[in-house]
Amino acid sequence: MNGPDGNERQLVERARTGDRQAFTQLVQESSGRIYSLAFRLCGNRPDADDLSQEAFLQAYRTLGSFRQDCAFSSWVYRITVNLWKNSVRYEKRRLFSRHVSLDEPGETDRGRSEPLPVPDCGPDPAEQLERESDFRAAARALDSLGKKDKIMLVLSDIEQKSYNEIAELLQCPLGTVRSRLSRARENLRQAFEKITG
Amino acid sequence: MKCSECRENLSVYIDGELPEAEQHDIALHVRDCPDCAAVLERMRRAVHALSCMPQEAPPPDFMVRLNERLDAEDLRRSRRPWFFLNWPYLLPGAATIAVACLAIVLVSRFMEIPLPDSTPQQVLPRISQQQDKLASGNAKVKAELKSAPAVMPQAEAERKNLVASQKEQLRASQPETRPAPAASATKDTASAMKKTGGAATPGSFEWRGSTSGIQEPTAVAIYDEEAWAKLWQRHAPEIPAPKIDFNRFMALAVFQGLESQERCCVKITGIIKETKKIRVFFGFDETASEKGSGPFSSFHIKLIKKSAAPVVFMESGEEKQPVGTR
Repeated sequence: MNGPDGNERQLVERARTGDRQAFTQLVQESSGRIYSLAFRLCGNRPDADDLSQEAFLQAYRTLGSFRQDCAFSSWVYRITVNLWKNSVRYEKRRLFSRHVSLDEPGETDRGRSEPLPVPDCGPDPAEQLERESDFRAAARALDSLGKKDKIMLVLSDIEQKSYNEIAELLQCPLGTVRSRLSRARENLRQAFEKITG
Repeated sequence: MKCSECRENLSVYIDGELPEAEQHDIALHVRDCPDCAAVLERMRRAVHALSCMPQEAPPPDFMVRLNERLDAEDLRRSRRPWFFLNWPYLLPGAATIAVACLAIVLVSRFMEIPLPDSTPQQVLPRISQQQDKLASGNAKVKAELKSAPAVMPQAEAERKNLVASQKEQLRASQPETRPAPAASATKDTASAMKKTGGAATPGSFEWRGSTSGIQEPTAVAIYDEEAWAKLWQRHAPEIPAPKIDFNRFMALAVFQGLESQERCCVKITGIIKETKKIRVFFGFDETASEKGSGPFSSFHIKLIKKSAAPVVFMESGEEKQPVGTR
């Protein structure tokens, strides 16, 4: 894992001495990555908002213990994963939000209604339509899975983390990562088949 | 390869993480098994769909709300004691101090015992040497103690003088409660002069006695040498008047007068310095009465710090203006 570059190191040092502007700059540079992870883990915007903000707040509180052996965003990333794993209330909201249909317009972002984002995977309209269908089905399938399966799929297939990185993040052996990921993908496939018919 | 074995490894096969031989076996099995091929295809589609999910952008007011929470955190921190706020930084320092203290304690203990690798044969002579040193040290101390008496009397005499001086000061600063010694004026005066060599200090000297040349009851405050010499001439003409620095001090004197029946010594019992006057209380000390039939004319003279305030002598609630004052 790469450590922070010189500029980021300076920002961290300044933030440690109470420089709020430096900390804000660190947050701005990593908020997209952290919020996206939180959204995939939580499956809805309000919870993603809470989780990501809580992660940055915890980073602010414990900045003194940040050893700078990795990038700031990677450190907050790990905080986000741990918070999500340890939080029960996010699980409760997940059970509630599981029933939201992906065919309906997307969840409101603080009162503003917007459709769920669709990936731009190719110029062919037919192919794009099929992929849009696959994407929605995969999202629904992911949302229907349990916590252990979800974290494996989010880290491996959405966040594109390697087995080693996942093992480090979740603090478990490499073999456990392989077996859990195999089980999660099998459950995803079954859920995906049910949705796509 | 069986289908169950193939499907167990499909996930790792998709990632290309299997050993080359196993990777090849699964590829062959999937080519020949349509069911496993269909499972593999659907798994790939689902995984591919997940990998195409776009990154979600945080809402526009994300930073505003986060800053509000950071403000609240700052406020909470400012209300916390400093050692809670800085514990990550203080912890190494506290640990270092603790280790240093422990090391000092351990080292101080180990300094007193023989080294672990010392055999009894090595240790015993060492102990013997230390005992010899101690014995010689004790002998030296004893010799010093023996020679000490030659120095001690001088120090002891100084200490006794100091204690006596302090006692005199204490007695003079408070109303007299001790029985007055029944001594002659000559003896008392001579004693006081002998102590001072003729000079007097406030509060540390007073003259009391049962015989005075002043035959009539008198209460007087003396402010200068001339009045003092005159009074002393009347009181004890055979003895030179003690020298008093009247620039700094004044004398208060009470004479009982010639008395044949009441043989109780007169005594100044208290002096109260007020802003406008000085009250001097006097009475008769029955515990210091004298038996006999000779002339009895007790007196009490006391020095106090000089003051411009008028002196009022009081006996049993009566106020008496001093006689012979300025």
